[in-house]
Amino acid sequence: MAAIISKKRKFVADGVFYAELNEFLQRELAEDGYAGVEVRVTPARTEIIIRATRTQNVLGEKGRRIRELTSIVQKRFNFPENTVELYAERVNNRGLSAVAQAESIRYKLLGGLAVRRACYGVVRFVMESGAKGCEVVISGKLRAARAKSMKFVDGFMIHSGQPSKDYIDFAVRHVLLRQGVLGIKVKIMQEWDPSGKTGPKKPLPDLVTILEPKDDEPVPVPIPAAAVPVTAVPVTAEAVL
Amino acid sequence: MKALREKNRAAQLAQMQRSQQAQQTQAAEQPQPEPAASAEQAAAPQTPAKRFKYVVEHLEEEIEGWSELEYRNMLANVGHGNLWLSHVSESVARNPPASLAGAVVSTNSIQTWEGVDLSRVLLADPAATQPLSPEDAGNYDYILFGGILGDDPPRDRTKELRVMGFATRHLGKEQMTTDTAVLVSQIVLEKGVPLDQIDYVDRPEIKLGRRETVIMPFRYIRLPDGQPRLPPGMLEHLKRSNDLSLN
Repeated sequence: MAAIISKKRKFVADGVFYAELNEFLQRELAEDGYAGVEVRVTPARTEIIIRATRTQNVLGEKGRRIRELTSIVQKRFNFPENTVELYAERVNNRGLSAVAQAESIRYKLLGGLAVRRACYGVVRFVMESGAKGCEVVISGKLRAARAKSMKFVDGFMIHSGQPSKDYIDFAVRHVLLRQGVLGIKVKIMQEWDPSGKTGPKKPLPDLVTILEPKDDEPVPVPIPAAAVPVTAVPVTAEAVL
Repeated sequence: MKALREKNRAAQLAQMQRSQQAQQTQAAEQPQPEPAASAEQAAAPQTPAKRFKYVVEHLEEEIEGWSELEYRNMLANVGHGNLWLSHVSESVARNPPASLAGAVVSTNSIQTWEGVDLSRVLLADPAATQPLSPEDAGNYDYILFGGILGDDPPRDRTKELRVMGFATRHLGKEQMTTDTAVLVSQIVLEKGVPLDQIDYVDRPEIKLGRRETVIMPFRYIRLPDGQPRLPPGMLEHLKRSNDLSLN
């Protein structure tokens, strides 16, 4: 970290660091509703903010687990002592996080819940959390069944264009069952939120708002001016038209 | 026993050569077909529509669920005695499902079946270079389907049968369900319709409920309303399977 590296290498190294960290935390904290990580580099230390739905489990009793995670990260990436800090942040609306819902379906299926019940439950929960639309697809082949994709949808969903990148949260997870592996895909379309907290700030491009017509200002009636006598103006030599 | 089988096969090959020669001389002597002759008439010039034997290698332990529905559908279409299930497990052979009465069930692979002329067996193989065509009806009596497992993408279980040296034909690029494959072969061979003139629908999305659909990643025959031709009872089976736990 003390060596001087070129800007290109630095950005690549940051990306690789984020990728490895995300992958590790995803595997480690899957049961605690892990939903993402954010890395903030300050001059004094590097702050890693873990977003999860069950922060209590991430912290552990008396902060034990998060201290363990901190030491793992510090040793693996050769951070000097006390230069890396891990924080756990609760996801404000887990119904709008595709990652959290995909993991939730995963555990429901592993626990032996029927497919229809698990997926309908998740779709209903997502719509109740205020999403505009939700789609859950479970694909795969189990022993003694034909390969198929089961799709559960509700609400409204867009598929193309930049709005699909702004509005849709998408997650893919694998569930390893005794009889085979299934893929879970969850797509959640958020509502437009001008404040930017629970959805994108920009409205959909085809949203047309028709404004109320403004009240017309009363146009003043012209007042006829009083008659003014016209006086002759002497024409000088310089006055040229 | 093995020597006897070899002798049988040699006799069959000799018979095949003789019958091929006879066919060639017959074709030369046949009068020119009428210009208005349709594809059906050209495929079955002398005899009425020939009934093929459809042989399916069943590789799973039991016959139940969707495979039973598909076999039942096949049996209803090809007729009594024309559906042969080969290489089934011992338990199935001893106790075949009652709904499949009329299908011929055996634990042996097709090579060891008595009375089968192996040169008249066509293997349905996705890796073949030639498509199945109505002209094949004259040269073959059996069509063999192997490796039924329902994977997507297909796991190419047919390669085990490919090495046995059968003539091969493909049924198109997309994988079909077994019963669709049998029905399509029947349409091509017995009704004389070329493979590419049959209407298909690929990877249909079948509606199971108000907010629930299922995508079957296979090629099906297309019904006039645009829906895939599923075996009777398959829709209910799909609806019920969503109520089951997966573990």
